Amino acid sequence: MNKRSITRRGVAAVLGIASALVGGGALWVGRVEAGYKGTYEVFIDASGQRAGGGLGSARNSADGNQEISCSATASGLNHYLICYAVNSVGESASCYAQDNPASEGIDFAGLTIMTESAYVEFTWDSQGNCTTVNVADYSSLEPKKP
Amino acid sequence: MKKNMIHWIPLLSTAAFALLTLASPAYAGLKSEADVVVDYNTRTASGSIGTARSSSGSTQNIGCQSTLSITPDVSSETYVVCSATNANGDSAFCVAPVAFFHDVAATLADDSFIAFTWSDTGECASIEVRNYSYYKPRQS
Repeated sequence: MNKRSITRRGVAAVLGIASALVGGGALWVGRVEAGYKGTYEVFIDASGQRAGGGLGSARNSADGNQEISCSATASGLNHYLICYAVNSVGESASCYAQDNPASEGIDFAGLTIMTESAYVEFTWDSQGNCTTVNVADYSSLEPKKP
Repeated sequence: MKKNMIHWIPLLSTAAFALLTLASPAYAGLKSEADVVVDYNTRTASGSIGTARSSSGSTQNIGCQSTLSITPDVSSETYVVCSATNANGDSAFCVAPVAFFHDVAATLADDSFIAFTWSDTGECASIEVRNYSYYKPRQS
């Protein structure tokens, strides 16, 4: 793969999330008059095979159900990634990715943007494999409360 | 005896002042605000997450994200996008393959200052992340 090339699919996925987090996106549900702010509670779109939410918004939510996470594991030469989400009514979704040594491998390095206030969104295929994982850190994202 | 007590008065006053000072919150470190700046002439955008979030208007925003796109058992691609909107609503973003900015992206924190430049094609030419004590923390 030519790392210099930016595919249309990759750019579309990236800019979709960026649009939502910097304003005008469908995921934005509220703000107050002090810097651009949003609340990004966990959503699960089962038919669209998509889930996402902010770590801060999930933790700060009132329902006691919401959570969202991604965890990466390195074991020997194998790398694994699991993303998991639970919405306000307790519905859950997850996706899984495994490094394939026969190919270039999955570059989990890009997920290092995952700060404690990060927004996470992932999509999956019919087998439950992760097809995209977006991790964002914008000033619009609320921090976790204790 | 009385003379000795008079000698102690300045010392006791100093000690009392020191105790009062220590008991009070010490918020005297260097602090800096960094509103979001977007300059199309120099193709530069910058600002701190904490200042943007707590700014008086409702438009400022700055941050970065990464997108991992996987074709199972075939390949993966990861991109970084940085985006900024200033107080006037002027916005800018750049896109880059993460391979060039992995080390920088890894340093992004909740309260970072971010500066990025872009080329005429919209690709990120540079991304700078500063984690300095004087930048404002992200607040609710």
